[in-house]
Amino acid sequence: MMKVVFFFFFCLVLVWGSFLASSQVDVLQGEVYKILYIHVPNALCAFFSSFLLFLSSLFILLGKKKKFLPYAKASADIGFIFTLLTLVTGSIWGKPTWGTWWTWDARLTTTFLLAILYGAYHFLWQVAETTEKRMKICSVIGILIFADIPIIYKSVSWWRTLHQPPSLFVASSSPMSSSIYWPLVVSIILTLLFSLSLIVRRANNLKLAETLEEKAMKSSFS
Amino acid sequence: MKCSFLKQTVVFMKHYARCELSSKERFFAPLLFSATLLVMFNFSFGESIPRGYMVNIFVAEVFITLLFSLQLSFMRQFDLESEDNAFEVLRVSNVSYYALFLGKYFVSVISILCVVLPSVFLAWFFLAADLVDVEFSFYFYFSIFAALLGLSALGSLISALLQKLSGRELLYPLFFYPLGSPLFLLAQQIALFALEGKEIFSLLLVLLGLDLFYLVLALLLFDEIMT
Repeated sequence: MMKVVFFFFFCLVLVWGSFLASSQVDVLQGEVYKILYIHVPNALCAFFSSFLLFLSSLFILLGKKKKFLPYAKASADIGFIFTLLTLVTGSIWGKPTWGTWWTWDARLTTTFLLAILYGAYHFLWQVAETTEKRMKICSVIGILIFADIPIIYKSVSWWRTLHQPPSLFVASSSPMSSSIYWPLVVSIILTLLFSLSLIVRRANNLKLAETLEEKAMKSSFS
Repeated sequence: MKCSFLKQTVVFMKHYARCELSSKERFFAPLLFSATLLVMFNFSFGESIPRGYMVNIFVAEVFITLLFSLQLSFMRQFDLESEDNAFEVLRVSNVSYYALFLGKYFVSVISILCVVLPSVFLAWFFLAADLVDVEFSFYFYFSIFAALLGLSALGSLISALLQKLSGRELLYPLFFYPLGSPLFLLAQQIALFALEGKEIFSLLLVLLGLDLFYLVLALLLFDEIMT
């Protein structure tokens, strides 16, 4: 699994490097627009992680299958990292374009709250020590966290915001030029695959830790 | 004898209403907390609030006070059931969990309204001299009520969920505030627009939609928690 993680990371670095080194410059934003290839995929990975958290939580809650617990936790952990990266890259983009590192924009605020929720999920996991408690409580919270995603996505339409409206997944054709659109799609696909490999890797580590813990418990009793 | 769903809901509502009325501190503690917060806010701002920002400050004060005092009310919602193991009895009985949740939910909305309305009056009183020219529209109060509908569903669900956890005092605000924030932010904006006489209907529809979404989600998940 580690080889797969490194493979996707290597591809991603290669692709990002080539996009950043390209001579194409945006008429309005200049060179700074290139952070789009990092910021947008990171944001989508944060959403994608919460979707996996939702799916795992649903399987645990309805199917009573505890084997999905590590996947739920891994999704929350990786989602937390990608949400932080989204905030940081967004902030770097915001300074030259909006003239400020941070503003109380609805999209920024709700994304920041998503990071807090992912962090709180981690604390909840620590507090709910038994598998039974985790299966019930963490799964319900996992579903509630996912319920926040449509609100974050629609926030730019519901509130008056500085953040630009959706331009990637729109009913009509995207307002972006194809020379920006397709590299962005490649970047998104690679980042999603990278995040998925990280989630699987993290889930395997959690399973291993649980097995070792069980063995240690057994040996201490025997 | 099997009771209809509606009858069960009404029975639970009456029961929880009696519980609320039997202990006065359940009403007075959040109210006093709201009053304290308002005093602190107004003292901190002092006379320095520019006149143009007075309405914004008023709405912000009302909603922040509301959010903090709601936490006090919600955190203790299922204390009685935990103390006398009523949850265990309800699990083996033939009652509908939806009826139980709805009974709790309706009573909590009403009891919290009883805390919120005096708090709004108090916030208005502290800033009264400068707010005399503001017209308090029906939609200002309706936005608070609409926020309560969603927040109560969310608050009751999280309260039931974290009931038996050791660190629930720490975890409750960590989940309640971020999850309730979209409702809070929307309602706050609607209240402000209502006082400024701006168009609010599209935002109000979104808020009511979110209320319904949270209520349905809370009902479905509460059933899972109980079973």
